[in-house]
Amino acid sequence: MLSSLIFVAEDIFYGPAVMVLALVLVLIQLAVLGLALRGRKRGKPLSMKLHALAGAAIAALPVLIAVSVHTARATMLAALDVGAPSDKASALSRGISGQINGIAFAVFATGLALLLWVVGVAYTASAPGPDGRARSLPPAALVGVGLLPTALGALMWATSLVKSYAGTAGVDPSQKAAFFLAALDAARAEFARYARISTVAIPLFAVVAIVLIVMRDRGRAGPEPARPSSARRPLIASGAALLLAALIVHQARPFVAENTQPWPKIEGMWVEFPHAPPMPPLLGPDPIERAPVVQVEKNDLVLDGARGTPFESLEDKLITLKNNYRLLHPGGDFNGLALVVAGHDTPLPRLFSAARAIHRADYHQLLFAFTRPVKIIRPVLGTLNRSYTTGALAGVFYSDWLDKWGDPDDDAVPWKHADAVALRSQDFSDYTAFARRLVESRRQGKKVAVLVDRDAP
Amino acid sequence: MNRETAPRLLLVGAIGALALAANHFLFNWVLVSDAFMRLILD
Repeated sequence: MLSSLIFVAEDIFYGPAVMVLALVLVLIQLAVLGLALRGRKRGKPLSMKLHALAGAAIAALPVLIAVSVHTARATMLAALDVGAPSDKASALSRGISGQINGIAFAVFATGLALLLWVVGVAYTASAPGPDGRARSLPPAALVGVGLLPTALGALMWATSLVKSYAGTAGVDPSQKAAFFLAALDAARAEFARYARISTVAIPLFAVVAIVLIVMRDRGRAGPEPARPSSARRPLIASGAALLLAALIVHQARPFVAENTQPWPKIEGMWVEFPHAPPMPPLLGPDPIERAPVVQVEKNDLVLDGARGTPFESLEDKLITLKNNYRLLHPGGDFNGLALVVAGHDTPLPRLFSAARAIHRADYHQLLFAFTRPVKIIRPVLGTLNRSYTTGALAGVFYSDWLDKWGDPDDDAVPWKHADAVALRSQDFSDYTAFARRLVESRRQGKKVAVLVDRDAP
Repeated sequence: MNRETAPRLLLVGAIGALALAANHFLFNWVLVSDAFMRLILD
């Protein structure tokens, strides 16, 4: 138990402060409960004001944890925009842990403190008064019980996600997102069920409280008249409660919007190529796949993020990557695909030289990537600046359709039929014109072949 | 129903409204964390 609490304290933001406050509040409730027990024994019930003070103090805990969860959320948002990939991943992970552990601990610790407080209040309230009759808790207190399912649902939601998030460590990297997404979906549906129970339970308990009040008042209306009391206090309290309810509903509006507003459907995949030059503003129809990334810039060649790759080494490096893939995936099919990233200012002869080196390394498919910035505006998450990438697929062959030994190229057969579009460097003025033709042809469902000259430039 | 009962019933109703509002807020506030977590999985 203690070791779990230490883990939680390490994971949540302002963990030590939250733990100390929770401990102090629980000790206060225990002390008040002790005083209530002693007072009851001695026939001097504890003052309700002291109980009220002790109860009000509990509110500090959810407030502090709300600040902690808010900080965890802000950390995640800040991490999305800046930072090295490893720092970003660690900040995002800390943000997730901070939120789910914080929410779980908030419900657990607040619930424990409230439970102790209610027991203390019930002890004092049930002590016989000066008239020898025991009082009881006001029936209106029943209404609060209706919130228990949502509180329990929040606790279960958070603890199930703590477990699932820890469980992703043992999952294959390509399956992690799907695994956690399934856990999120299941936890959300379960939590929604619990919240619906509360939505029904609260009015039900209110009706029960009303029936109890009416019955009691009828009982009192008999032999002795009820103690005259002013109607002003309950009226003022009702007004204040209704005002507070309206304020709470108003404050919840952005959260409701965040939870219900659908995300825009965006073509492409959320992929970024760091420091890539601006690309032609096109939407390719083909999905992005995992493959070696050959980034051909005006003054640089970048292979899988490594800047300054010499042009003459590209073929050998791609062969190494292909061999590594086969070693890591024995029996798996190598798709012969290279992802090509080029800027609108990339000279076409340079791009075709890279395509020739790729072809010589026995890759016969080029997936041209087109990345564009997308701004998404969310009610709580704010403005998210992302880059979405679409692709356009082409085969790559020698312009004489023969393989490197001068024999007919078997790989080229699917691309050689009449409907296929052949693209040559000399047919275009620049990369944008080439890319536009490529994307148009792919959108028409045609196969496209990039034809490179056999001789080196 | 005696004269003091009506305001007390009103108070129960108001507390019920407050509890429903708290339920609505709590559910949606917690669920925003779900949105945050989906953010990195997209």
